[in-house]
Amino acid sequence: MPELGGAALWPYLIVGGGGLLVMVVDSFVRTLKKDHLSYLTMFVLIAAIAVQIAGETREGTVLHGMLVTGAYARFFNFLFAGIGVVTTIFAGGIFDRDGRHRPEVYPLLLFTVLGMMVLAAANDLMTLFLGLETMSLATYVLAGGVRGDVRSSEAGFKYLVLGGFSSAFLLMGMALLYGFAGDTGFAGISAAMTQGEPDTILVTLGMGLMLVGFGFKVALVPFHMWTPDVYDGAPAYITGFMATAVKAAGFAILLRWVVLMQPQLAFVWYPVLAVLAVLTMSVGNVVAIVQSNIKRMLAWSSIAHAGYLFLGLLALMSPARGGSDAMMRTREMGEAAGSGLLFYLIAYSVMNLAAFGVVNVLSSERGKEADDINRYAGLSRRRPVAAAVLAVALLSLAGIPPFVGFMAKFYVFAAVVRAGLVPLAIIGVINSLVSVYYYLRVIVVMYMNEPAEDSYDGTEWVSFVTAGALALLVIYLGVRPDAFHHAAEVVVRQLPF
Amino acid sequence: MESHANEILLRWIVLVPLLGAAANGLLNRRLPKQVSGLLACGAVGVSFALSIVVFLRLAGMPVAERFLSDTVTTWIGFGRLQVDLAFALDPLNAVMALVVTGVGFLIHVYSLGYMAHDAGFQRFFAYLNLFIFAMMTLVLGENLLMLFVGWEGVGLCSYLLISFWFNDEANAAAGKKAFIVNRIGDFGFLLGMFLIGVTVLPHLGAGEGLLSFRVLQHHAGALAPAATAICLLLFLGATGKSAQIPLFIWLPDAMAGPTPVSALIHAATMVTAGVYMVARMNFLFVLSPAAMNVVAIVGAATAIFAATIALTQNDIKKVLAYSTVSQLGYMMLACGVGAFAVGIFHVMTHAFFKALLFLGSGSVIHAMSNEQDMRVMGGLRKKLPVTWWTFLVGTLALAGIFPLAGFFSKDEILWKAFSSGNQVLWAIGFVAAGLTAFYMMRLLVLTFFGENRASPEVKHHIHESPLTMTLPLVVLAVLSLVGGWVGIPHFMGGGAHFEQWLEPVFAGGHHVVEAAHGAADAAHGAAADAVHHDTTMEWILAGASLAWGILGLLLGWLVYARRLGVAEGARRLAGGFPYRLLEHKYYVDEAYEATFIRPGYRLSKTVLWKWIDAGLIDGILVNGSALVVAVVGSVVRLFQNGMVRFYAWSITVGVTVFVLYLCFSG
Repeated sequence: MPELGGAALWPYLIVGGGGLLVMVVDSFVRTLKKDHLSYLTMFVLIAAIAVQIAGETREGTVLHGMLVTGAYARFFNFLFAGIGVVTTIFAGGIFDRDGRHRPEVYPLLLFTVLGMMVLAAANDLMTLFLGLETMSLATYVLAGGVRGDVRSSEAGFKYLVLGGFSSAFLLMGMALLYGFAGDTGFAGISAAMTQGEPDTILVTLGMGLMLVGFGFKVALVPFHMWTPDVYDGAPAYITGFMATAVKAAGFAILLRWVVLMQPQLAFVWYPVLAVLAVLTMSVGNVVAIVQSNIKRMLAWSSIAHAGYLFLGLLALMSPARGGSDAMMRTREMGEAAGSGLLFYLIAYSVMNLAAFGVVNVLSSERGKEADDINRYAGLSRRRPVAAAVLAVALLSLAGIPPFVGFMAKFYVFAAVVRAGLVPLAIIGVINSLVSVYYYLRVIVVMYMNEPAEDSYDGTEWVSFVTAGALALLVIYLGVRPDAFHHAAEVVVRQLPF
Repeated sequence: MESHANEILLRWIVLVPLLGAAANGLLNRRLPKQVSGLLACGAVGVSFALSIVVFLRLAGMPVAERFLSDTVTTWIGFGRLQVDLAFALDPLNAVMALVVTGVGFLIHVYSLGYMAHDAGFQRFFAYLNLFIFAMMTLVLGENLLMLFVGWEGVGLCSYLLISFWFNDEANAAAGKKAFIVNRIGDFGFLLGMFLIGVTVLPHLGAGEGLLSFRVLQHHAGALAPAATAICLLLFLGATGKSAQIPLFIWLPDAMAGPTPVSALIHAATMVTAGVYMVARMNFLFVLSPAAMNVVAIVGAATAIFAATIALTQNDIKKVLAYSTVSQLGYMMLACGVGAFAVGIFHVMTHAFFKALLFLGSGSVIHAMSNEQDMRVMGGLRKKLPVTWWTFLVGTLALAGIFPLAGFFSKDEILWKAFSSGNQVLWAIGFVAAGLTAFYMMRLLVLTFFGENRASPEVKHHIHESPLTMTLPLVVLAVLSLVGGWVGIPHFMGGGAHFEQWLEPVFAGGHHVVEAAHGAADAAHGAAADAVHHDTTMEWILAGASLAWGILGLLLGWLVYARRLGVAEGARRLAGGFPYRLLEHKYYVDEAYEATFIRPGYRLSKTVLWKWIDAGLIDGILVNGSALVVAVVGSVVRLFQNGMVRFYAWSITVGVTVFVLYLCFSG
């Protein structure tokens, strides 16, 4: 891969510099109205997207091989910036209402996005860790930063402590790998693995510990326990951001990392990872059933979805077990699994943001989080649009056609079947079936129960429109997934299988 | 394949009624009745006008190139499996489109008057427009899947409209019956479609739509080995939709719906969908002589079976309903002997006169304060002059009296049956034709002649219907009079224009057969041509069938207007058993009840409900899994205790297990 000039760095510079700019503007410009920061943040993110479209599109490395640019990084940069824009809209809407003005959210949001972008483009253990920690540190504050709210503080604290704990495992794994390869670059590590006599203990331990670090970020069972508490304590718009962007960032690096290290991984790891995937799906879905708090329910659901996504990773790895006799077929199957995974990330982000968008708007009216499922009673009569958007999002999460959640599951499960992992696909489908129960329960409450005095309500129309647009996207992508799926296929082809 | 002319108008023919349905359905009561009616009629009117435009455009093209298509988008694109959301027009469905939108428009106008006082006015027109949308999807669909979408759509609309007055449980039951019986047929249709799909898929080239009619015709050779199975399955679907033996039982009950619905859906258009589908798939049916025989035999049997039942019915709409079943049998008979064009010809003429008869009966029912029993009617000739004259035209057309529409199409069917060597089927059709004339005269006499037998209040209210109702009657009467003239056969000096128009559609099927059977068949074709040139036989048969029809009418007149004693005698014949057999429709409903429904019900109640549903599903699967979830949930709740140190401990345990496994497995 060619080493590219600084032009490829523009998106990163814009988001990072934008974060600093927003911070400075907030501190020094006194005549500012509340909305202006939100506009500025959106402008920065959209500028980053524009630069991505107009600027450097070649595949290559930057900063002496520290970052790798190209279709894969661009794909995730679009996704992160898009989620960032939606989150900014949701955040702005809620500040406007209840006076919980938190200007620090905007620069933190931008720094988180920057961290994610670096993480998705990382080509070296150093940049990987840098990106991961930039993202994490900013998220800790985002989750815990609602002043005077004990649950928020608790969430931030727990996230920080456990995040630090898991980062220690990640660092340990990195150190072991460095000890083995004598290089921190992905290319060097990969080369050392394929060429030299791989020192099994160093490599497997190093890889395993790094997986624990990633598993924490994407909330795999048994590294998931922070998720319900943190998702519940953080404000809804941040929860939506964490459930989508942070998870997507985790899978962005997992996918690349698995593809890079695959030959060494596949044989030993396959059973462990299969167990992790099954555990993650099953625990997530079963526990989600008993929740009465919608944010906790969505948290457990997000764990379950991490399990489905992990199935896609397994499908991607498993062909290597067949040896090199069918390289062509292996590549094709790997691409099917990878593109399914990427499509799933888009689908999951869109439908989850729509769901959290509604929860967020309903949280705005009374200044408290709208998290009690029973108080969604009769929402269909008070706010028919909000109820419809939430219903569409939940049905899609349950994987019911014609919504995008169905197509996403279809692509992933189809790849799993093609990879010969039929039992795992069956477990996935059964899990998906179980999940229908708790998603539908919310819809039943919204549509079939009479509205009560204390039912939630909200009126902030910009967020409504945004959530509605996301719901339409859920339907559109469910009916016409071809374009996005094709894009995902193109992106995946860049990965070195 | 030759290049296709593109015609974007096609989608609008289908879409405009949908817009009408949406407007009426969504705004419903908020729409004033006048606006609602105007919208609904306007939508179908536009559809009709557009159909004429595309028809003329098609007619202006060279014969071999008469094909217009409108591909909206790729509906399903999955590797080689490609199905387009597309419409196409060729001579066959151009005729269907004109009939459906044209007759549909007249019936919409009629409904303005008929439904004027109904509380569900807007809902009615929403359903009616939705029906036209579905029917046009069925007719104009470019592939079998589109046809199926329309097929199910019209089934839904039929259900909605039969149970339109759902407050009466009998109507709701009739709707359900129609829906469920059609499910059986649709199951066959689906299986047939699947079979086509798996058979033809390996032979498809790039970019060829899987179920597109043109593509299927192109690959007919590949389908030949499975043709019999496919055709029989598809035909099962057709027996449901077109009310043939054994699935005809729903149609008479479907008369529970408002009369315009009976005219539009259960006489003129929807029930002919099965015939249309068979004609559409002609290239496949001709490959299977066995399937063709089944079609012909079922058609002929249905024709006579239903005609005998119609002899004894007292409900004016029931008589017409059985008559419809019988006439549909004729159409199937035509398809079965390979005369698809004639079958479609009868679809068209039948649409005219049967719609006319139903609307006329609606006018009678309207005048008689919703009385449908002919035994209390009579003498309406003077009071309902327009209805009477138009009804007479319809009756004569149905009885096959020269030179009305029914004569040409029915006679042609009988001739094709005869000349294709199926003399037995011809004889059956011939007998049924006489019965048709007889029961129609019975209906006419009981309704319009003699003294009125209704109660004084009802009698007092008898009045001719408003212009919105009589005008469509007059138009349809004219069509029933002259509609057959487009198909005057050669031997009478006519041009058989109708058959020639459809020639390009069905010629393909003949080519397929010729390709499959080689020269032997060509020789046979030459022999058939030789028969054609000798017109004596045609003259004899046509004369016989005309005389037979007149005889049937005369007998009907004699028995019911002059010698009622004869009818009484017939009723008591052989202990009254034959008459009761007919009156009770050969006890077919009772037989189905005893053989399928009651055992099925018993099975459901005992095994399926008590054991499978209550025991297995509710008991073990539902409550059992709920128990499991509750237990697991409470266990996990113990873990999810909010303590950070416990969470960290859980991560550590996970890592330890993980690492130990990695170290010891390698």
